[in-house]
Amino acid sequence: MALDQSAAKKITRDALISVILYALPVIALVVWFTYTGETPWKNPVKDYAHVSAPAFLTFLEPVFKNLKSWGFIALALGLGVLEFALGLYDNKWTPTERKIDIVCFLAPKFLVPPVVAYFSLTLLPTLLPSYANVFSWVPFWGGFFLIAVADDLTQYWYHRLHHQIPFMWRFHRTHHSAPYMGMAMASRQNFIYTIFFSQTYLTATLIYLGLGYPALFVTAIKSLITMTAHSSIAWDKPFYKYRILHPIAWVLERLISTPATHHAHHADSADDGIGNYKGNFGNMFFLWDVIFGTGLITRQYPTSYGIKFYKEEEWYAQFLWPLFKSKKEGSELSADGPEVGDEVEATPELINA
Amino acid sequence: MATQDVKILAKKIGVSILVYAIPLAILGGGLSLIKLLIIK
Repeated sequence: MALDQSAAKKITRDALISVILYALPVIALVVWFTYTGETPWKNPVKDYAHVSAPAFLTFLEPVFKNLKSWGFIALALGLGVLEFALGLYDNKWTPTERKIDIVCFLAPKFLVPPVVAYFSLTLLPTLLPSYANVFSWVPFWGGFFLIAVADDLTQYWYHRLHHQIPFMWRFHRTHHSAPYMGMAMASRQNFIYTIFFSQTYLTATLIYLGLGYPALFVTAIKSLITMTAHSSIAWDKPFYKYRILHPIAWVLERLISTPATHHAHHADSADDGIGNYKGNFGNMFFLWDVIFGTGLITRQYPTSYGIKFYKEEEWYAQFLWPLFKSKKEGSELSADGPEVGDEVEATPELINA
Repeated sequence: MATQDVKILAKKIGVSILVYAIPLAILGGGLSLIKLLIIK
């Protein structure tokens, strides 16, 4: 199945716009240094990002470090138990789904860190020995802006291409096969999709180049946003319910991923005007979807999730396709299965709430 | 794993590398240029 012509055109157009978006933090730094006359690269200060960071971050630093090491795992488990207690999995958490979710939650926590550590501590110093901390002169705000754009726009593209390039879909399918939303499926991914996450290695490289301090805060904030966007406890509901909060809702839903917009991405149908599984690709920022016209904002939640052509494939096929195949006949993950269960169409234009 | 699967895997890794390398080139190149652009 070839890439649709109109989709290819849009990808090309949006990729060119992305070059400008990636350059924005650099342009902002040029303007800043021109205006202030600062030249921090001439008199390097050790840990300049630390020195130039807002004072309150010194107090928050241990919180963010703990969140990164064990806090998010505890938060995901706590939120998951609460979702389960509230009956939000609605008897859909079958033994097959349970197996996939648990393997996808646990295995990457043991298998990914050694790979990223090897990349950061061995490969980068070998390939770029003189570049360690070469950008440590970047002030905190610039590093924060740069990492936020670099990490999240890269994930937007990684995610979008897995939806729009037919041969890539099956690497991402596992994340969409869950017929429910919640902490149980938030980490549910094919392992090859996870291990080749472009933004993981991009951020690791930027940390190696000296942007580690702002990266700590960006990646923690991003994890919090993406985790809660997957939760079946919709934290954004009050913002739509109370009129006084509508202006905040208007900004929030365009800036970051919310349960409403991200749940729409996981809908199994777009027929109700709420689901938008061929759009709403944003992870931390929904802004990319607004800019590229791949977003749909309705302030409503889909009634059903997953994929229409799901055959409850074995956990090993969902986790390790194409290394292991499904025995389910006609499955996308079987040896002779179709590349994509339904055709790839153009994405809708942004609809305002 | 069939030859077709190896091809798909190789193409997928290729896309991942491209999605990694393009922003790195823009940002790395841009930050390196700052020193040259701002001569005080």
